[in-house]
Amino acid sequence: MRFAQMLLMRLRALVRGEAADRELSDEMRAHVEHLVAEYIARGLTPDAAREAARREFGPVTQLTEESRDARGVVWLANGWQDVRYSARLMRRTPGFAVAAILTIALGIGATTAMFSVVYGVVLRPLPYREPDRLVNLWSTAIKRGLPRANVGMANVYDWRARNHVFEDIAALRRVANFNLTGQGEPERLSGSAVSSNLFPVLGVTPLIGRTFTEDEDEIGHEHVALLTYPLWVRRFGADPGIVGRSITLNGEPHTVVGVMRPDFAFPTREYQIYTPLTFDPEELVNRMNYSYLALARLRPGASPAQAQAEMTVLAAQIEHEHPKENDGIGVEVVPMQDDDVAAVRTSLYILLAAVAAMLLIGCANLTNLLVARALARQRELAVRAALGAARARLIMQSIGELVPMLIAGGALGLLGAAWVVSALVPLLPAGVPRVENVGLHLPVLAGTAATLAAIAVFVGVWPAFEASRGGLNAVADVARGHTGGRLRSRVRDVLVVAQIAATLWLVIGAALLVRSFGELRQVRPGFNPERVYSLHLVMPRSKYRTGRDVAAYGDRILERVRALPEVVSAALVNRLPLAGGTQTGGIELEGIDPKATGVGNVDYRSVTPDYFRTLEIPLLSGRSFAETDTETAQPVAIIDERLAKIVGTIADPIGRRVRIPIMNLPWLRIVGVVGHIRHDRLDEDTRPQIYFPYKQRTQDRMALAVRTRTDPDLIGGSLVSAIRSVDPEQAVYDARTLEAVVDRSVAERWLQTVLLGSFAGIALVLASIGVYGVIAYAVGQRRREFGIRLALGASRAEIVGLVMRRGVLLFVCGAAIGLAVAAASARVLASLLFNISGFDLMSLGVSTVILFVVALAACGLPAQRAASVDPSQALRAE
Amino acid sequence: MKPIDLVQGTLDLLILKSLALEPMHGWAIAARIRQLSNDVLLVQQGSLYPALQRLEYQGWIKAKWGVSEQNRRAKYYQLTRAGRRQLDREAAAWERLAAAVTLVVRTV
Repeated sequence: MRFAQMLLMRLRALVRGEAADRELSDEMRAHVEHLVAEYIARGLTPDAAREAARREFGPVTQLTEESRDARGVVWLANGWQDVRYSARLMRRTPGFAVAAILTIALGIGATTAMFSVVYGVVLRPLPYREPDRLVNLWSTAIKRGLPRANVGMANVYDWRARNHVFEDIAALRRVANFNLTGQGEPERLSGSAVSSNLFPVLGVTPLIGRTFTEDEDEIGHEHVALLTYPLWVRRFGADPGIVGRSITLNGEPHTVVGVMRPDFAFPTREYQIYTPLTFDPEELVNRMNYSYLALARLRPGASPAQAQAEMTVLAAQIEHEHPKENDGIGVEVVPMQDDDVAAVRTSLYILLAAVAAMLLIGCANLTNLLVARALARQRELAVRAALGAARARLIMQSIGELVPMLIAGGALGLLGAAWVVSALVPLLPAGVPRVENVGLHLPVLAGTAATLAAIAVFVGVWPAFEASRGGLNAVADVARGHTGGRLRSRVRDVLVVAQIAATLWLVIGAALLVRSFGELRQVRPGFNPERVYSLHLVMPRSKYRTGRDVAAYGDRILERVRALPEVVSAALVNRLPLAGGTQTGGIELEGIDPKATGVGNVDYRSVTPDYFRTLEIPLLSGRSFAETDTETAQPVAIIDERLAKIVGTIADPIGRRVRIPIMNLPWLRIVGVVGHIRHDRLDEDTRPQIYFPYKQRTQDRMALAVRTRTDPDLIGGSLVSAIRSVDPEQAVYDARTLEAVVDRSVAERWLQTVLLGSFAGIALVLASIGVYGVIAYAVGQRRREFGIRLALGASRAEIVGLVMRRGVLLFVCGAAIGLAVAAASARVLASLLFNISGFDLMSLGVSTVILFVVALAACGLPAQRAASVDPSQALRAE
Repeated sequence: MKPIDLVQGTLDLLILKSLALEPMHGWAIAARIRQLSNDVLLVQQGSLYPALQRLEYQGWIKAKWGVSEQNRRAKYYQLTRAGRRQLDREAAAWERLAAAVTLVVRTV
């Protein structure tokens, strides 16, 4: 009861603050009047009475302050007062206010946007039940050159039966092609075939309907489908009656059994539909098909390390039991939260550090701005301090004055960040995982608030500290015009040196990334992407049942496409280079010991005869495929020069034989050798390639590549029409020029370069303002000195030299620190670089020179002004 | 005699005691303290006000505006029930302290 009363009193006092103040002063005045009346009654003159009364009463101002303090809400009330005062001040000096608000907005906006990306991609817990208990399971096959690979069903079954460390293991297969036909435009969806225990393992429930049951895992019962929320909204208009309806996938009717919740996006946002996972029971026997993903939930109390240990042992046992099929196959247990993001984590953290550096540079400017303004009010502050205002009070006042600017700048910054996030997130490169998680979530906003508070303290505390140091001497100093003091100037110099160091680090980082990206673009991919258009299509097996049907369909498409006037050549290939995705496997060269070659898996490609001509991959010896390489003719293959080198020279392999070392697949005669291409990424050369004729190894998921006479962008529409004229229900996806494909493959690096470059550019601007501020201030301080020197005969050039010397000194200190920091972080930065070392001298040198020029320019204006001081004016001002 | 400076807690006790009989305004409290102590305790009158604020804030007295004898507006303070209890407590504590000090001083 007491507490509530006190709270009420505090609130009342707070709300009535001003009124309470007036009451108090009324009371005290009345009291003093009483005393005066008393003294007059005793016979003193009015003046003497007043003085006696004053003495008896005590120091009114101090007592008023004490009373206010006793009220217990003083700091809050004072804070509000400071805020109002600051708002008035802001209106009177709009330039300063605008500069401060913009600086804060820029810093807050950039930091918030960057942190929201880091949080969404790396830090935010996955939206499943107890997500830290979930792990991904990968196969490892180091011997075959695959540090990580998908898993095989046979292994999954064995793991499930024999482990003691997981509650359950679920599996799924990513299906790149669900042709959704029926109502509306035929559409190709990415989806996954999942085991029925997937959703219980993840711990998620559907929005409406149900997930799969165990008997739907069996062949014959699997014609059901589960939709994701975005698909349901987009394609079916969020129709609540969707459950039980039939949709046509790949030509076969599936019953929709449920819809998942809006935030469920497994494995990624790209996969929009789920069907039950079925597979050929043969796979459990031959243990060959490794196209599945597996995940598991840890038992309570089990750690990922324990799980890894047990699974390693288990894998060794299985290898022992199946020495041929499981040779060299191990298991890797990776916590799901860490898994996809390990690759991007480093670069994101580096970018976050860069943004933080930029923020600090901005704050340093803000501090200097505030100090400059505090100088104007120094007399008031010194007087207050001399009158006994507590240091804490002054500091609170200083921070309080910042509040309107922080609020305005913070709000502006948040708006900017929200815009950046919503506008640029869709443009993020495909490689960045969990992009749908990026947004201004609560933890991000909390981070922003914390940053604002930190700015308030960092920027507000120091000027107040300085001012409260003074005492009465300070008042006298100020009255005489001796503002500043050596100590203050020293701190400003330190701030500028720090700014220069941080800016140099950022500029070096940007320069390194730019050079690295330039190197990357120089890489020859092995084919010519100019004037080539590509699109992907999946030929539904329900329509084209046998390999021959598919191949014939492919031929008809190529025929129509070649009839188009702009087309020079056209071909089909199962995996387009640099488009993501590949098919790999082992090969055996006749007469060569596979272990001696050092070759692991190679890329398998099924291509039509014109492929090499279309992509301009050079034919180095032998011949390309021909229409005569049909499924009844002799099995043939073409290898790339990398594989050829194993045999000997480029001409040697022709006529020799090669095969896929699985079961009874036949030997293939090598008929040609082509140039090697970089398939997975431009910056890494992974595997050699082997090509099979399309008719001999037909696939239903293919890419169409078309070389055009003129601009490839224009041909997309006619291609689709040509294809639809063969089959109106054919869905087409991922259509773009091959140059766009190549660009997308380096999009991540490009984005890093652009971001770091922007931060460095902004930092340059901010730092130049900082340098300008400090030098201009110093010049202002030394006006008299310069006037005297000029009067004594110094040349203007000498004055300029004096000023510049100061600037150069600051620059050298800052640059030394900046270079040291850059050297220290070279190793970390190197992970982002291609072909360039973190110590690249050219980048270091160019960055230093750029910063030097900028700093020099920033000194230039004040130096000019110093040199044009009128000596008589300067001497007179006192 | 020179006025004795009072420690904060003691001033609180004096105020509470003064208000024990009837509500008063600030000036009257000062006068009462002077009167009750035979003019020994000449409180610096202004320092009443921080003490009054503190006591009000802690809930031991409460204030009401009224009209004084001079027909002026004045703020009257009065003891609350909790204040009365606090007065008893502090008075007892003071007596104990005073007795102890007297003992020491007398003995030596």
